[in-house]
Amino acid sequence: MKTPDEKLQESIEQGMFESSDLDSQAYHIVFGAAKKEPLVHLSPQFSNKVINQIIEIEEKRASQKDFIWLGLGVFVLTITALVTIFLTGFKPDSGAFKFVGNYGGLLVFAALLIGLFHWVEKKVLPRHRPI
Amino acid sequence: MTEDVALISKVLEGDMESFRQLIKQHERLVAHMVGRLVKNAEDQEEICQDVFLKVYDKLREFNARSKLSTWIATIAYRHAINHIRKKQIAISEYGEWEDFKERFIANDNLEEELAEKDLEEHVLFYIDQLPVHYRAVLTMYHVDGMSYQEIGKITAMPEGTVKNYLFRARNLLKEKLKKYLGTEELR
Repeated sequence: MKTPDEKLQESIEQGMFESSDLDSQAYHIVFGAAKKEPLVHLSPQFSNKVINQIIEIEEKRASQKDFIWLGLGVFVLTITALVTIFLTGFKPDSGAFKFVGNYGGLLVFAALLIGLFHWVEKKVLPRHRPI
Repeated sequence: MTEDVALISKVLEGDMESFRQLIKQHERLVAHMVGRLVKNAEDQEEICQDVFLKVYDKLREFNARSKLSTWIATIAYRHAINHIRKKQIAISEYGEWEDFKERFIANDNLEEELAEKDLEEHVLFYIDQLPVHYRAVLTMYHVDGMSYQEIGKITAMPEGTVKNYLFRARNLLKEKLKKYLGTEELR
């Protein structure tokens, strides 16, 4: 059993608005207003902002992946070196190792240079142009 | 539906222009939902952005069993509801319907602010005072032209509840407006 209000709402929805009583009039206004879009002001560059954010997030993710692989590589290399040294009883005091040992500063410089290149690649060189 | 699938495939291949197109197609829908549920204007655009970030992130999980717009509206609805919860705004503590209706109609706060506005503006103001779920259902049905079934999918409410909320929302607005029209006539 439908209430008078339910019947009224149904009839207005079906476009059968004839009654002039206060309920019908009020419902008519309510139905008209309910169709109006809520006021939200998205900036004109909204889609660009979203896309730029996505690019930033993707870059961060890619960078994190790089570090994970780098870390994994260093770890595996270290373990391999340690196991090899242990198994072979290798001592780095002859041949090329002895030679390189005399240029410790050069090795430090090389490591710093590689670090600097990495920093420049990550922080200075732009990977994309913001849209 | 096939257009949706084609667009999604392009986005998944990394075509950002296609994603821009997806945003353009659905930004009004998202803005309606967020705009109706979140009152703070400063938060609205940020939440809309978060919705599309989530859409991009989860696009691979879209199974094309529903329309893309329904899926995006679901994300927007949940995002807005979560935001409201975080801000600790009451969502569904209305109590008994008759008591709530009485309280809603009797609340004359800010009525004076509306004195100069037209009747539809009054109703829009009253809509903002409605409980969150009523506002959501009303907007999806009247502004976005969604079916009860679609609204049910988005809000995870049974169709009967959707119909009931819609009826109650319109009834509350009618009673509130009637009360205003009655007092206006007496002046």
